[in-house]
Amino acid sequence: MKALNKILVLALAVFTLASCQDKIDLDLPEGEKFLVVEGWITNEERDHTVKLTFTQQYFDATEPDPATGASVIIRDDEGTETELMETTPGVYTYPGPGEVGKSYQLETLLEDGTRYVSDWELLREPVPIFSIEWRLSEDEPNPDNDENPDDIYEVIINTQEPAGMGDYYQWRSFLNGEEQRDPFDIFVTTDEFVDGNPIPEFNVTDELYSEPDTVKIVQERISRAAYEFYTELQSQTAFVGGPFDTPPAPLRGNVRNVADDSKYALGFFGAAGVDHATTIVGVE
Amino acid sequence: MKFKLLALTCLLLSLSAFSQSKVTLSGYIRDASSGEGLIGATVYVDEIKSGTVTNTYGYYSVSIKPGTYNVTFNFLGFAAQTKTIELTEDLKMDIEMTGDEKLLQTVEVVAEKENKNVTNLETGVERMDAKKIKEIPQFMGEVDIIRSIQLLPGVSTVGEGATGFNVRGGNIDQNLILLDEATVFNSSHLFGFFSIFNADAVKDLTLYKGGVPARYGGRLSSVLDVRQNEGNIKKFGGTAGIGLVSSRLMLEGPIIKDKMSFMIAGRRSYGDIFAPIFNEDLRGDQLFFYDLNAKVNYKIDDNNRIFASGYFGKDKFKFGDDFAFSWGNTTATLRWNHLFGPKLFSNFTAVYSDYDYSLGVPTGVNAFNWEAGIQNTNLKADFTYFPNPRNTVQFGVNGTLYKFSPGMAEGIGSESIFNLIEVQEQNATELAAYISNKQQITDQFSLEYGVRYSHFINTGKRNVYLYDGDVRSDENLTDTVSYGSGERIADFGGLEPRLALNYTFSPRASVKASYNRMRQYVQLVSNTTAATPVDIWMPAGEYIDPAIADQVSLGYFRNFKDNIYQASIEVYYKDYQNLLDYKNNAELLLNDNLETELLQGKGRAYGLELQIEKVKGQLTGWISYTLSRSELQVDEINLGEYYPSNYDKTHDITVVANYKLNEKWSFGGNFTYMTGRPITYPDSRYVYEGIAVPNYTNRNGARTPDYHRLDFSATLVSQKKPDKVFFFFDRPEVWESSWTFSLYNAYGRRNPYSVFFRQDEDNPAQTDAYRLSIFGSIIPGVTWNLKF
Repeated sequence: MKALNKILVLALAVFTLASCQDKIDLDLPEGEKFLVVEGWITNEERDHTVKLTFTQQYFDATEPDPATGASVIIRDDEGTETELMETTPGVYTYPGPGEVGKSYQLETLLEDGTRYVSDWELLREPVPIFSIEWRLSEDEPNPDNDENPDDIYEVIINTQEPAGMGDYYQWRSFLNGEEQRDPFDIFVTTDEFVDGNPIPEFNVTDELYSEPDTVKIVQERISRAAYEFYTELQSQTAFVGGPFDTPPAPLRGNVRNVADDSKYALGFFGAAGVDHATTIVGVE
Repeated sequence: MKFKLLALTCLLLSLSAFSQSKVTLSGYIRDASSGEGLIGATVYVDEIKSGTVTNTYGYYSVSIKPGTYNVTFNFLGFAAQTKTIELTEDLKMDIEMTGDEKLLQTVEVVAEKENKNVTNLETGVERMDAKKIKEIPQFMGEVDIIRSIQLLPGVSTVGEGATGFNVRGGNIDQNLILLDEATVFNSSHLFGFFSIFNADAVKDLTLYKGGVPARYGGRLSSVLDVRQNEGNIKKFGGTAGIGLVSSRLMLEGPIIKDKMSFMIAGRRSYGDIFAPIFNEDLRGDQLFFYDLNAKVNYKIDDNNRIFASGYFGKDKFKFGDDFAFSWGNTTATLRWNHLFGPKLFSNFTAVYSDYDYSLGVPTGVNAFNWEAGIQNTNLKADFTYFPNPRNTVQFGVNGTLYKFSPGMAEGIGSESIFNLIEVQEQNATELAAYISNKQQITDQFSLEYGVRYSHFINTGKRNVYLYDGDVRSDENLTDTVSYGSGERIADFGGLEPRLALNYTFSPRASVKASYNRMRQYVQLVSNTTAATPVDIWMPAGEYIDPAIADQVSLGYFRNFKDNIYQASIEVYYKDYQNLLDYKNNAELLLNDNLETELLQGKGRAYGLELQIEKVKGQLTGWISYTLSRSELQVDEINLGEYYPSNYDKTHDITVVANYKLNEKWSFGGNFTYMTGRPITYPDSRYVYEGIAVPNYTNRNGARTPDYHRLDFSATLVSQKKPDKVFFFFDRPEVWESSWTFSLYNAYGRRNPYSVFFRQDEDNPAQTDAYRLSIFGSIIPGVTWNLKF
């Protein structure tokens, strides 16, 4: 729940009273190498990619090593298997969209012979965004958030949560073609508190924009496993630095090592039903 | 179990038969200036080389053969009194004691029984009276009980900003905290910076770290028994204090002289007024607490006294219009002391308590309110039977009715998009009965043995979810069973044997040992590093077993130089079963089937506590050192290996010193050094959708850097001289005022509370380690205190 998460963030802010955060130097050994899987399949009319990389030492800021030369397939619940082509090192492409209502599974065989298989992910019926609009915001631009005095507009969407508990959603936002993706941008939620309700005037990003920014909002319907994955991911990357943090724990995604369960893969392979809407701020 | 009870009853009967030819000397020992009962005052009968101590209400009873005796009444800080008494029949003798500073210097003060730490049966016990508590320099110039006990060996805390305290490697929910017999669930205000106890209202406190007597039960690791003042029954008076962060007022006095008295004490903090000075963003926010203690004490006649008391406390935190957080404790207690004859003292207590907490967003589309709480009603009867000076028998029964509301959330206002969601309430009943005897076997060997039987029933009205097989998860949910109101869902019970021994080699040295088994039916579930006030208390039920702890301890106590130096060394070992821990990535808030997120496992804690204390002279204080280990083992966590608990502290050194320079000035200082607490460091990192993510594989595999801190305080007592107050009024004769200056964290160390990992704001590819310190600077405090 975004509100609850926001609350926790604000609670942490209290401790800025006479408290402080300093960067320190630490010696951390390199742990075991794990495979990292990043891939999504949606109903959007475009190619989809699966990115395979490896973990690295914690303070290593270079690009992670890609897993090249792997054989990657995506299979659907009717048995159709599609082999993905490695277009750039570590990036494997699946042509075209996925189908709503089908379930998909990822399987990969690495160069060293280890085989990984993901859980089945259902591509759910997308929930449409009825409309998107921009308007003048009541909030002041926040310089801490890289906002400048021209940023005076907010973007809202209008949608409706379908009745029936057990739905999970994610929103992504794109500003002028670039996806906004830092730990605080992750936004996932359940329908637990809003089941069946119309959601009018929904400000997804809580950010301010200026004329003539192009803002695209993507509304994804995801699985419960994906929701739990992103919630944990955000908790371990964004909600840190306070006395009430959840102690970190292993974040296992949904990809398993076929031969040895203790050697799991990190990351997540998911299927989502998406709808998106775009507006150009400040322009009629 | 039945056989044990029978054996003990036989022992009781034989003792009473034996004492038929005796007469009883009994009564209350009180402070002459206020009428307050003195707890733990000694009554020593020279001729039989034995005696007794007063109980928590100041009552004593000694049954001996008729004759003439020299009886000495003694209490530390008061002038001893020796009386020659001719005992022919039962005699009621109440004693009023005067503080020894009031006596002329020519009278010799006989300080008998200063070697109480050696001769006392209790092991693993720390006792502090109001005077001692006030001598310790504190945070922001405010005296605080919980912070004071953290300076004792075996007691520690996870860090600043953490509620509660840890005793001998036990979690914060394993401490039974009693305020005049009422159970307290959360002993902290403002995230642990202050406790709910107003030191002005507190008369005495006892902390049992081990060797817990049979009359206490329900928590695994300790008992903190706090007793408040009864209220000055002779004259009206009070104390007040104005400080930088909070102010307090305590008033007490007689309603009917020598018969009925009252005490009322209140505190209010106003930190939110000063907060914007430190941080602009905090303007318009609220952060305060208040509490109120009220007590009325009525002596009906020599054999009956009634006490009615109440506690109301609340913490409120509001962050603009974005977020609000509050929690509070309300308790109402009624107690009746009744003497069934001079040898049988009884106390009947009825308590109602309500602990509630809430958080939410006050306005806007996201407005919602989340509430939870625990209500309980508790009835108990405790009896103390004094058959003869060598035996004191205690027995009683106790029943509690609980209602747990683990969470209800609803949207507020018409704009809100949230529906109502409610986690089912849980109801339970906890019952106990106990019997114990404190027996002086020989002059050197004494023993306290007893047993407690406790029983817990989790009842409806509730729906219980059934799962397929052993694995409890939402996917495995197969069925739901409905239970009616009061219908039994699950019940548990068992014996809790208790034993404590003391072998006194000489008045200067003794060896003590103890064993106790404790059962805990209600546990706190928290998946944050420091417990937040909104953590959930879970009763034992269909999926959660009660926790059990067994503790053994052994100690050697030795006094030096005429009891000026008191030293002890104690070792303990604790074994735990069924401790609650949560699964990795558990979702605890508003979870109707919370049992799917919880795991139970084993634990063990062991340690060595060393203390040396100087109790007399201009310079007093102590040095204590604790070496300990506390670890847990849960099958699904850390690959099933033992891992350190969140509050495991290897070394804990404390030095406390008080120096009374003269009538005007006294100084205090304390220094603490502790090993860092366990945290989880990442083994490596990876990138997902452009975000650098730390990868953790262990739990609590590393430690934060060590913690150390120095505090100072200075107290200036204003000299009594006729002068004007506020330029107009003559200073009243009775006013005693003082100023307390304090420096918390005197060398401004940024003690790391935790270490966390985050990507650099400007360069997302880079990840760094940061240290979070709660206090990064020196914190001064000033308080003006008044006693009238």
